[in-house]
Amino acid sequence: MTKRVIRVERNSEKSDYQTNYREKQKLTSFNCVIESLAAWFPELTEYLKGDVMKFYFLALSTLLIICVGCALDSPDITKSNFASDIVNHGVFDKGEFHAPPAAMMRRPGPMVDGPGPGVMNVVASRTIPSFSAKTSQVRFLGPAGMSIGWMIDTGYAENQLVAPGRYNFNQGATYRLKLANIPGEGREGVNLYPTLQVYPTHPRTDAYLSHNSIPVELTHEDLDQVENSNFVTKVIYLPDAKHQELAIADVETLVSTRLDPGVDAVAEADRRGTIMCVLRIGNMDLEMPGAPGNLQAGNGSGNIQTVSYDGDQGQYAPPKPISRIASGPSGVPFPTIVGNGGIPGQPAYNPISGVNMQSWGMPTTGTPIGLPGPPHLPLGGPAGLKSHTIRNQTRVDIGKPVDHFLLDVKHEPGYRLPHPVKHMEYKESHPVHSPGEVSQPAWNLP
Amino acid sequence: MKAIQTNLSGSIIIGMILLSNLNNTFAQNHVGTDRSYHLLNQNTPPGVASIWAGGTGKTIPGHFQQVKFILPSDGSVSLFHNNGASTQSHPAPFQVGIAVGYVYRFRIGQMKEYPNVELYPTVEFIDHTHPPQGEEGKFPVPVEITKKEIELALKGSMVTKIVYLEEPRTANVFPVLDGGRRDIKTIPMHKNLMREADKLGRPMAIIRIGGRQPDKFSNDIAFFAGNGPIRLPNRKID
Repeated sequence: MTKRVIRVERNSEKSDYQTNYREKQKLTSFNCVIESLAAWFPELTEYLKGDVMKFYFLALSTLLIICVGCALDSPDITKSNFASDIVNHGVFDKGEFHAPPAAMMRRPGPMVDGPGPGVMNVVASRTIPSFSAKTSQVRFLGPAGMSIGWMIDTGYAENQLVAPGRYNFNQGATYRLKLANIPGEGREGVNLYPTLQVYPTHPRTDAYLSHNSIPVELTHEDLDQVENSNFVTKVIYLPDAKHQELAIADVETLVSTRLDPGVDAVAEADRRGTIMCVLRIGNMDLEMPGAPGNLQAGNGSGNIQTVSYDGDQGQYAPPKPISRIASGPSGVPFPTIVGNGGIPGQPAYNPISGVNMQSWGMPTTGTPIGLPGPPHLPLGGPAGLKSHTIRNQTRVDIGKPVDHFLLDVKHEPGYRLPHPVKHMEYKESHPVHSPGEVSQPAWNLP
Repeated sequence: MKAIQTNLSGSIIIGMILLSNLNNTFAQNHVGTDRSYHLLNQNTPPGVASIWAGGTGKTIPGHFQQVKFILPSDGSVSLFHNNGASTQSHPAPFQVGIAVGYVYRFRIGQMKEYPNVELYPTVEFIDHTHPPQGEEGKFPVPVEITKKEIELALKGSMVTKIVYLEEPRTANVFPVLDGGRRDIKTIPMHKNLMREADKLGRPMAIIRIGGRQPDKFSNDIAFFAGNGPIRLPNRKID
């Protein structure tokens, strides 16, 4: 008991010492401020030395921190959830409303299907926009005079277009092109075999693609890079509206050779806007005679006969995609985890869990992200995945359903009419006669 | 001295509140001063706005609205309907009744200023006017294509226009130019065109102009997609 008392006394002494030390520090710093203010406001200085003003400055500093924190709108601090909530909602509620993008409003949300968000009736959901662009019109701007062909089932259809020219490519597919007759010194006889990846229509690009063509141009700089064995990737995308200052929607092109080393042109374009097509160019010759793996070589048995089409002779054939991009009902591509180049003429193999491979949780697939897991022994044994949890941490404030609805209506100016009669007073006065004063009509006189 | 202290601290607090409100005002300008979320914008896919307008009861789908196509000067207008299978060329200005709730592709060509140019804009009506019964033809909605828009489309740009009926209480008195043309207000791309039109009045039609041409190699049915009906005029155009 005694020890406990002593310990308490020591702690209190230590606490008193620390408190006094802190008070001295605060007073010292506060006195510095007071002394600096004394030069300008000598009369005010006397009052500021009071203890009351310390709390005023403390309160004002707190208020300043809160105001600055509320007004912060820097995108860098939105990386954390807490900071994002502060920025989006603030300490003080600004009363703003937020809703998903228009395309998402057409469907209620994940795991919930059915009619729209309550404002759309059956008539609206019955009609599906039929104007969505199914093809993208690619306009080959140049170099002028260049012939454009493409791969078909049996080889290459050559000279199908001459730049400047345009063609409608089916969306969601990658095509192998053949560029020939490229103008320029030293480029005689040079053929290039780029791939053209045409992206599916996105709600942001649908209006543009149904009214505009996608400009694709090979510049001399691009051709020089290819000749020097560099791989050139050109990404044509529609910038987000928030990144455009002009009143007109224009596409932009990102070229891999103009970006800093290590910067992925596709990823960068995807960050800036919505990609519409990607052109990848190298100097690989796909028609080298005798080389294995190309169509001219065949399989050595001589059984494969290539049939070529030449546009100069009026022979045209539509391009055959070398791979396709899976897309959902709204044209938004499914999330692709792994993609192979595929075999020419065959679609690329993009393993997606539950789509073209086993769903997650099945014995042969151990992970829910689309990657096959290790084989289970014995076959048919329990799945390796024991738990798969998805937590939706979206902040939702959509209110409760209305149980009693009150509608106030008012007409200005109001009605004013004579009020209906609710009381009438009827009075009759009759002469009063005494007996004998009764008068009779003359005809009744006795 | 008491008064000085009160005034000083009070002015500082008011100043801070004003400062924070100033920053909030800047932030709110970015999302719109009316603090509402607008579902539609200039990038909304064609047809969505009209479908939603009909679904929410804002307009009557299928209601015929008189429209007057106006070109910079001489030219022809061809309105595609019946999924592009039917079209007929008419000299501009051309007035016709088209149905609300549909997207129509039309072709402009044979223009004096652009002899070998053909463009294929679209028009989508999301609302209709309420003219006196029997006099609908006297009050067509102008669908005007200007020189500047044609040149921008030829350069590969896309122009989106919204024709709106002015709110009478806030309408500016724009002078009516020759041929019934109206002044056109241009807004930056990062602003929501539909929201701006909503502020000024009642949006009636969305016009989109680009440089895409129909496919020469196949019947591009989706390009002419509109299957809405038309009602040709039976009276002489003024």
